[in-house]
Amino acid sequence: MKYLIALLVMGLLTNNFVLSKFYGICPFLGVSKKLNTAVGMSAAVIFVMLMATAATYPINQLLVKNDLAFLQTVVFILVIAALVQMVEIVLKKFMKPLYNALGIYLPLITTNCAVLGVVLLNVDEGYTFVQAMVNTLGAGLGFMLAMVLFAGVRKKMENCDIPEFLQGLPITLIAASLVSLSFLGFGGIVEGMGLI
Amino acid sequence: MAEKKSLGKEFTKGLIKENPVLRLVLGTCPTLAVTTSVTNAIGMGIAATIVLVCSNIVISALRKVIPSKVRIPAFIVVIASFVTIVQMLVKAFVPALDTALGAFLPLIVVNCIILGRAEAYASKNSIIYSAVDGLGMGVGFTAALCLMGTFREVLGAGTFLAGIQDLLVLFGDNVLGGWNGFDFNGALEFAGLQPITLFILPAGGFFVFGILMAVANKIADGMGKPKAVLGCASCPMAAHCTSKKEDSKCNKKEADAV
Amino acid sequence: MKKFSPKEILIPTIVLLLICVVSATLLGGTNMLTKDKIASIEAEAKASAMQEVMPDAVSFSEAVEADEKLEYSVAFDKENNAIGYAFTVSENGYGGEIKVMVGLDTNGAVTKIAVLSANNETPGLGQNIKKASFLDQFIGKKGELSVVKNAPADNEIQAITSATISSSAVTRTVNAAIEYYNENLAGGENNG
Repeated sequence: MKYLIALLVMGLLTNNFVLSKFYGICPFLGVSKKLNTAVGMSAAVIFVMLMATAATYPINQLLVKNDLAFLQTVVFILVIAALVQMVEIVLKKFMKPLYNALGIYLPLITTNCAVLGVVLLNVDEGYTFVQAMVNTLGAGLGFMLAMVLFAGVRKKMENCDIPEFLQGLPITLIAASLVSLSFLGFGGIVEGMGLI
Repeated sequence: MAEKKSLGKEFTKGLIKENPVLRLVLGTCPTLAVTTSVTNAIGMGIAATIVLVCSNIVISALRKVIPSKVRIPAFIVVIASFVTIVQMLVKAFVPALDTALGAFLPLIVVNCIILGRAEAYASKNSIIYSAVDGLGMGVGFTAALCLMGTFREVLGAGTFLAGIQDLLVLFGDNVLGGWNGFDFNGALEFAGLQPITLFILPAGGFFVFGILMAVANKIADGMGKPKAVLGCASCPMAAHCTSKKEDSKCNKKEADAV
Repeated sequence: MKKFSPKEILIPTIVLLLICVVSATLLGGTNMLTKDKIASIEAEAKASAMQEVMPDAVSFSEAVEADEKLEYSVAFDKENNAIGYAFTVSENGYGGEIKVMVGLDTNGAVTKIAVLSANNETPGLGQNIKKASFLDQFIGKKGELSVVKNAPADNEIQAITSATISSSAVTRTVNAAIEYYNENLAGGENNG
C-alpha cells in the first residue's frame, strides 16, 4: 500500500510526466491556453491512459508468454489507436454530453506520447496490474496538474508586456521552464514522507 | 506537381526553411528529453532519420494501395515496425545508446515528425522525393537536437561529445584513439567555477528550447517569414480532426495555441 | 451515415491485414537475427561487472536468486576456494529502479560496488551515482550504512549534492547485500 501511494505521489509531483519526463509536450504547449480546454484534454488523456493500461496488461502477458515481446510497440500503438476510435464511437452514441466535452481531443490522443509512454513504462518496470494502474493514474493526474497550473500561468502572461522577439512560443517555453523548476522543489517529498 | 520540385530543394528545405523542430515545432518531446548530451542527440537523430526515410519510402510506394479510410492505422503499423527494427538493431550493436535513450527510442513511433511527413508528404509524392524529403527532415531534426544538446551539455555538464565512444562502437573499438569527447571540468575547476547543472535538468531543457525558438523566430522575421506556431497545421491528425465537421473547433484550437 | 458496400469494408481490411502480416514477419526475422547478440551483450555486461567488483576471482557460480530484488553468485579463486560474493540488488531510486552489483569478501566487507543500471535517474544529478568518487566510499565498509550530507564518519556515506535520494538508494542496496550475507551466508565457509 505504501508503495502504491509512493507511485501516485511520484507521478504527480517528483517525476511529473510532463515537467520532468517530457511526455506529452505537444498538448501541454498546444492546448493549455485556456483552463477549460486544459481540463478537457487532460481528462480525456487520463481516461484513455487508464483504458490503455487495462487493455495492454493482459495482452503483454500473452506476448511475453509466447516469446513475442518484440511486437510490443506495434501491438500497443495499434491497441491505443483502436481504443481511441472505439471510445469515440461509444461516447458519441451513448454519452453525448461527455462526447461533447472530450470528443475533439480524442483523435489527438493517439499520437500523444504520454499514452504510449506510460504503457511502455509499466511494462519496462515490470509492475503488477494494480501497480500499473496506480502508476498510470499518477501519471495522468500529473499531466492534468501540469496542464491546469500552466493554463493559469499563461492566463497571467496574457496581460504582460513581453519583448517582441519572445512573444508566442519562446516565452511559453521559458514559462514552462520556470514551472518545471518549481517542481524540482518536491524532490525529497517521497523519501520525506517515509514512502520508500 | 512533385515533378517541378528539385531534389536539392526538397532536401535543404528540411534543414532550415522547414526545420521540423524550430520551424514546424514537431517532435518536441524527444527534443527536450534526449538533448542532455550531444552524443544522445546524434544517436536519437540518426535513429529517427532512419525510421523517417524508410517509412517515407514504404508509405510512398504503397500510397496507391492503401485505402484512405485506413491510412492512419496503416501508416502507424509501418512506422512502428521500422521503429522496432531500429530498436532491436540499436540494442544489439549500440547497447549504450539504448540505455541512454530509454523509452524515447520506441516512442519514435508517436513522434509527430514521422507520422506528419507520412501524411503530409509521402502519401502524395513519388518514392524518390519522399526519401529525399525524409532525409532532409531527419538531418534537420538531428541538427536541431545537436544544437540543443551542445548548449545543454557544455553549459550544464562542462563536457562536449562526452561518451561518443558509445556511438563509435559501431565502427570498432577505440576509434579515434579512444577519444571520448572534451571535458572542460578541469579548466572550470581551476578557475573556481562549476558547470551550471540546471541546464541539463528538465527546466534547462525548456529554457534552451525557448531561447533557440526566439532566435529562430527573429531570423525568420528578418527574412519576412511568419513565426513558428504550434497548432493544427503541424498536427498529423489534423485531417482526421477537421473531417469531423468540428472545423470551427479545430480552428479555434489553432487560434488558442499560442 | 451512408451505407458501406461489402467491398468497401473488405478491401481496407485485407490491405491492413496484409501490412500487419508483412511487418510482423519482418520483425520476427530481425528478432531472430538480433536476439542472441542482445542476450550475449547483457550477459557480458553482467560478467564484466562481477569481475570488476571481485577483481581477484577467477570464476563465479551460477546466480542464486534470494528474492525478486536480490541475487548473488559465489566468487572462486584459482584453487576453487570461495573468496566472496557478487550480489545483484535492485532498489527504487528517484526515477525508477536502479540495479547495483555489490562485491562482498568472506568477512562481509565490501570489496567494490558498481552501478548496473540507473536509467531513470536525472542526468547531471542522480546519474552521478555512477562516479567513482561516490562508489569508492563503500570499499571496505561493513555493517549497516547510513547516508549523511556532510563529512562522513565510520559506516556513513556522504551523499552526492542534490542527489540524496539516488545516493541513499545505492546505500540501501549495499545494506541489503550485507544483511543477506550476515543472515544467510556468514559462518559457512563453503557455500555454493
